[in-house]
Amino acid sequence: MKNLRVFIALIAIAVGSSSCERILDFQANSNNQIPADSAILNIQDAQELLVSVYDVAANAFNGSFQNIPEVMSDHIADPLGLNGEYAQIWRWTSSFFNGSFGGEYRNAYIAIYRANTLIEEVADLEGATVDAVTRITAEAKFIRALSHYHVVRIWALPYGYTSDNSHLGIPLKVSADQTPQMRATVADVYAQIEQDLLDAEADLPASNGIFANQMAAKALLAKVYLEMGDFANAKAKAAEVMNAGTYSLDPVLTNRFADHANGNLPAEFIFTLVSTNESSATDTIVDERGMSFTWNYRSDDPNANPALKASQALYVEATADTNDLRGQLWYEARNAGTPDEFYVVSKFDGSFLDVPLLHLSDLYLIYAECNVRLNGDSDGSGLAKINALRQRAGLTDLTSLTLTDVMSERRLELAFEGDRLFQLKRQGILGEIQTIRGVDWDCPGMVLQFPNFEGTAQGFVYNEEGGCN
Amino acid sequence: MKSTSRFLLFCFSFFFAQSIVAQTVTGTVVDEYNEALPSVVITVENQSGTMTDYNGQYTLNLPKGTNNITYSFIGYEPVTKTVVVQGNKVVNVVMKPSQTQLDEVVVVGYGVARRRDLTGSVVSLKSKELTDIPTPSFENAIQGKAAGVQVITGSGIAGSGSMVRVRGVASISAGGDPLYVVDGIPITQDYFLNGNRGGFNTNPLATINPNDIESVEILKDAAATGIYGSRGSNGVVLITTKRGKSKKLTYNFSARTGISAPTALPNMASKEEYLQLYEEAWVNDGNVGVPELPGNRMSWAEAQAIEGTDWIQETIRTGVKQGYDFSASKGFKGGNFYAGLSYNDNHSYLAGNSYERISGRFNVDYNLASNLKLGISTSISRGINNRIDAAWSGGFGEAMSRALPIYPVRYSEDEYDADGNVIASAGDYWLKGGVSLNPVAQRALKDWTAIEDRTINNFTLDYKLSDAWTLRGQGAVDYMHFEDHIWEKPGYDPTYKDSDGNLLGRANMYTYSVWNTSGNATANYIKDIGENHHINWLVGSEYQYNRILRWDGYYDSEATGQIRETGQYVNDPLSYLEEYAFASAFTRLNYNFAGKYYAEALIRRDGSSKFGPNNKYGNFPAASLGWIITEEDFMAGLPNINFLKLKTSVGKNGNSAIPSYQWFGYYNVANNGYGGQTYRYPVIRENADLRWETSTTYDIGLEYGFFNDRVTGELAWYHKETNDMLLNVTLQGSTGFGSWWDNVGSVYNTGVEFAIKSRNIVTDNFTWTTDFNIARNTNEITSIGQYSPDAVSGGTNDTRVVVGMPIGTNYLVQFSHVDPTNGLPVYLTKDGEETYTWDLQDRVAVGNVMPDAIGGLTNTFNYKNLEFSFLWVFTIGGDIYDSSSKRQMGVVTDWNMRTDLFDRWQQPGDAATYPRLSRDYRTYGANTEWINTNLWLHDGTYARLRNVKLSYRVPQSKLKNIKGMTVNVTGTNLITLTNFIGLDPEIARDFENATDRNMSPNITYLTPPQEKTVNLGVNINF
Repeated sequence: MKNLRVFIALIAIAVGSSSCERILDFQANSNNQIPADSAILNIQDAQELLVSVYDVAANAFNGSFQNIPEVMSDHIADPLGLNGEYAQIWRWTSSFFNGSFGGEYRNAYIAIYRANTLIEEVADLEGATVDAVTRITAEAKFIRALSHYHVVRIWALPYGYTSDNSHLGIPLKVSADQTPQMRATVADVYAQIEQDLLDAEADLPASNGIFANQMAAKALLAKVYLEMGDFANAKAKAAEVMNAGTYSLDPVLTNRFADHANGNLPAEFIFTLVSTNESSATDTIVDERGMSFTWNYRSDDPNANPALKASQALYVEATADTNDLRGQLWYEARNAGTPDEFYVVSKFDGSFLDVPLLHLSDLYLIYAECNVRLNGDSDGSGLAKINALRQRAGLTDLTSLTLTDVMSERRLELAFEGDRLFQLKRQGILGEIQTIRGVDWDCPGMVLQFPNFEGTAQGFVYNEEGGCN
Repeated sequence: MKSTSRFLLFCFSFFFAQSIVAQTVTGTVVDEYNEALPSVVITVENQSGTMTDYNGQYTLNLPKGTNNITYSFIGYEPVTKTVVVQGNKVVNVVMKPSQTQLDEVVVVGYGVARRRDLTGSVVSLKSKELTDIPTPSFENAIQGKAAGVQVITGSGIAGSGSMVRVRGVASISAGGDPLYVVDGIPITQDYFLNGNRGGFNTNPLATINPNDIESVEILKDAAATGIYGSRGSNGVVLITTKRGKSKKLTYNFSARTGISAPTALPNMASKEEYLQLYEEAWVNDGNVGVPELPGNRMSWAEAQAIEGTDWIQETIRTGVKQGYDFSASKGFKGGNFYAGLSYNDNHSYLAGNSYERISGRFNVDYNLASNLKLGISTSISRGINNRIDAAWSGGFGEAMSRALPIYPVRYSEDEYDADGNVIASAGDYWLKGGVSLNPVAQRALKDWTAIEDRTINNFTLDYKLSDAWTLRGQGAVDYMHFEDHIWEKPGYDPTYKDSDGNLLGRANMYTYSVWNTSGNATANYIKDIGENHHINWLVGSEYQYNRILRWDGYYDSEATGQIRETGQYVNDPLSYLEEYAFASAFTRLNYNFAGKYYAEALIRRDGSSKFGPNNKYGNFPAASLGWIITEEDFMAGLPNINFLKLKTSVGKNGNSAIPSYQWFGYYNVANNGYGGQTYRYPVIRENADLRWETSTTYDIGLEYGFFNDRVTGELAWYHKETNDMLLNVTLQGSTGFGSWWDNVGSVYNTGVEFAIKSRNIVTDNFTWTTDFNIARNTNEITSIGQYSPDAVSGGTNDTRVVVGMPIGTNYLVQFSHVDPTNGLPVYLTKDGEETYTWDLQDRVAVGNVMPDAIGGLTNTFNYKNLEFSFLWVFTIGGDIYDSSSKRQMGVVTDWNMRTDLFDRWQQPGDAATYPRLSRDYRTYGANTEWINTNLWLHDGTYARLRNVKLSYRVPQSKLKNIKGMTVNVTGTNLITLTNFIGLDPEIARDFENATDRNMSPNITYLTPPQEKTVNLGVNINF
């Protein structure tokens, strides 16, 4: 009996000490950490999550995303020296260990994941009103489309490369589910982007502060349709924005990349990732969103040796007409007249740049190109748009408009904004060009290799490597 | 050593106690040193027996006539006396230690057992085997002595530890080291508390004084480790510290001093060789004119004129070691004590590097009452590590890489800038490339000391409740405090100045503390039912709580000169706090029938704060059987086989060695995000299912003793299957998260172990003993779930997790040959086609860092008072990845080159090992100068004379006032036989994390080789 009592006592101690949950519950000790299951409970939480969607998108579009295709195109001078990741991209020899763009890739998908979380959960949250749910869902879809669109352009062969677009695109994420995804076809990716933007267009508010509004969805749709070779729809969407009466060209060219204090953005801007530099008695907010532009291009110091410099070909074209303000304001030749002559880009001089991802100049160019392609600009409406841009640049009007005129204007107007490579590829699909910087426009190095962390899912298919020689 | 068993057996042997009757025969039982032996079991044929008391005395009541009295004591040869009893008689007995290991007592989890009774696989090493080789940390001494236990001594840096692997490696991202338990307490053993700052992982075992250790038991199979449940899957190392054993007050003093040198020196190019190679690359690339040197720090003409520097010689020296140990111990009526003091100062061959350890220990046992015993073990130690930059961080590593032989240590004349101002005077350190290109300046301008204080304390209360029941309570505190002080003197960073242009210094400190507290309670029931049924039942519970605090601070950066002395931090926020806990209950039942058939069953239930709410608890059962065949009657006809035991076990273990909080998904909230607004975002995905990695182990072993134990040993086979491996998985980027911990996939380890000890020659004056062990382990990853090899990278080491291959597979592009026509490297594609293009997609599994077999061979010769022994350790198979050689022998960059490059292509027709020299990686078809191929992969087979020792025991007749004196001379690592063209074939670089440590032993990256040492020592007992 004595033994039995001892036994029971011991069992009680043993079980008692190992079944007390509290002694095994420790959580990371940080004030601002919230357990995942109680982080998104009400509509205010959802709004804060939405801010983080823009936040991470703004990290990706701070120039990093735009610089990658620019470096692959014919706009950037040979980055001398043997090392550096931009050098690899310039030589079209990116590999999956190349890290500088892995971060942008990841950021795009972080934004998509958060957007998907919102889309799935927002309707069930405490305090969810129809208006709030509609708006938050639409904004989430807009960012999801924007992110997919930029990733598919950089990491996959372009739309139209195969007749049914069955070639491999990118992982298409339309739910917060964590199952690894293989690459969807380009057709599927573009179909989703289009659908997301159509939904966003329908549901976004007409005005939405620094966040995406209905016109932003239309403007992005115009770009997407252009990419897809759907000139009629591209023209129509561009026209809807131009005719809305909300936007007008900013007379000052250098306002495109500048610090617009207190969010007083130019009327030209349709969707902008804004920098904040505000001080009050209680708070200082310093949030710079154009860093990768300034970091790589900025040249207002006369001794600056920026990583990215303009190619000679672009410089020559931009300065061919000495009246062209774009050539005067956005370029500067250094060591002029010597064998070491090089061309710095002054478009991004300054700090706290706001980054206009969608702006009216782009839509003018889309409209003009589509009108030429659709009807040879028979009504002259495309010419008017091009002349508006030319007037701002201090140039004389054209009297008629050809495709070459539009593409040249586009090149000069949007230089270094991450546009050029995709226009060349688009023209490659259409058979209008064959080469980029002397190599086939569709050689393997013209799409970026996926970062190695994307291939951690078994069966993931990488892009072909082997450069462009 | 056997006499300690006495203490350990004190409780155990109540088991044999019989009632005492009236007296006729009395006597005292002593050991070979005339020390009383308590608890000796005395049996008399056909009569009641007894056992000796604390003073070794006994009394027997026997009938008149002839009686055979047998005296048995575990660890000693039994003695049988034939006594003719006629009236009172005194029979005194001297017992000698047994030559068989079967009777020795070994420590098992929560108790002790006779080796012969074990059904599990346990290697026991005693104090002598742990201190016969002068090692900085005790685990180094295990190498080659325990079958199936791989010990890789990492590097020659003072204070560095070893990598210990028991029966292969069964973990990928969770810690693969065995669980270390000191006197019953699991201790803190995190190698990454201080990261790999300076190219070095601190060794948490370094503060344990090897001389305080009585025995180390390594538990290998599930029957042995099962009682440690969730933490035993990579083996358990039990460390038992010394206790007082002699009845007399005994002092022991030992002293040792020695010198050291690196086991190998890198063959870096001299200045002339470097310039020649560099120029060749320059010309090969089609350049004309005078070559431009890397970084343009000097002109070609200056480089030619300069004397040049042998940076290797500038960073090494002759290492000097010394160590002193003093201990006092005594057993007394109510208990015993052991007190030890130790000082060890180890200056490695790396200039500026040393590890100094001061430690003290006090262990005491005291009988508070006849049935209540208190035991206290306490130790305190301080390790002072004078640190240097090593490997990728500088020093010797820089001497093998970017410190070019054309660079001088100091300016030989004044240096002017373009305007004619003096910017450096003759005699100043040459710092054109910063301190990192001048290891001498780096060392001189940086004071770096790491101080670690540690105290491990526990108390034990044993209460004997009844004949059968013993209760035990144990409580412990293991506290560690570590400070890493780095002081970069003014000039270390020449650009760091105040507004007046005065150079400034910079001080940093990294601190952490670890509180590890635990307690356990056990009850042990030992009962014999009838003559043949022996039951030993244990039940217990345990709780362990760990708290890790970390601060990073820096001193006021504006002050100059004295800031280190004033020592005021401007910033020392608590930057990290981690807590975790385990709560456990366990029970174990041992049964044996007549000392012939054995069975054991156990189960442990563990709860851990580290795992998700869905799987916080786990059950870990094990069962085993043993059969002593030689107890069977049918074996009586085979007298040469005196012992055979067959044993088998199966059981489930776990591994939980991962960082805390990993299951826990959370969001952060922050202000002033995009647009100045508050935002919240997910940081880590929740994994509520996160659970233990579990291993199921099957083991079959055969222990044998032949020719009256002249030949003994063990043969074992095991198969360990690990499932739900804990992996820190890099998530597919498109999931929106970076990485998380997941239970993924499986791996198995299977192997055989063979150990034999043979006393080849035994005469009065001369004995020759041979110990040999060899173990072969095969390891294969059978699944990694939905992930690809790149999901778990081996840190920077290019080893990958590939299904169908072992853990630690070298995943590399294959190098085929150098094209004799143009000198270009030819690689192979995945499909085996030759190509000039180095493409990471052509990586395949080409090697494996795990050896095929490991082992050791010890021979010991005793002639009168002389003892001579030597230990060879060997590794067969396995590859070494000489990771830094891709830069030393690859594209000509800002690294110095190795003279292996003399075998390079120079003109058409050359059949060379290395391609034509070039400064442009594009020549080699690559897009980086970090061209990993199997050209840098080498066979890791080696044999090493780990230890050779000659000792002389001064004859007692020549000694006055002292009990014993031994002098010895020891050499370590004196001979290494290998085909490896790099430095040391036994190598483990600094690691970034546990994954890296598990997957990348045998990878070297500028890692300093081990030391070879010669030591003189003396040991005195008085």
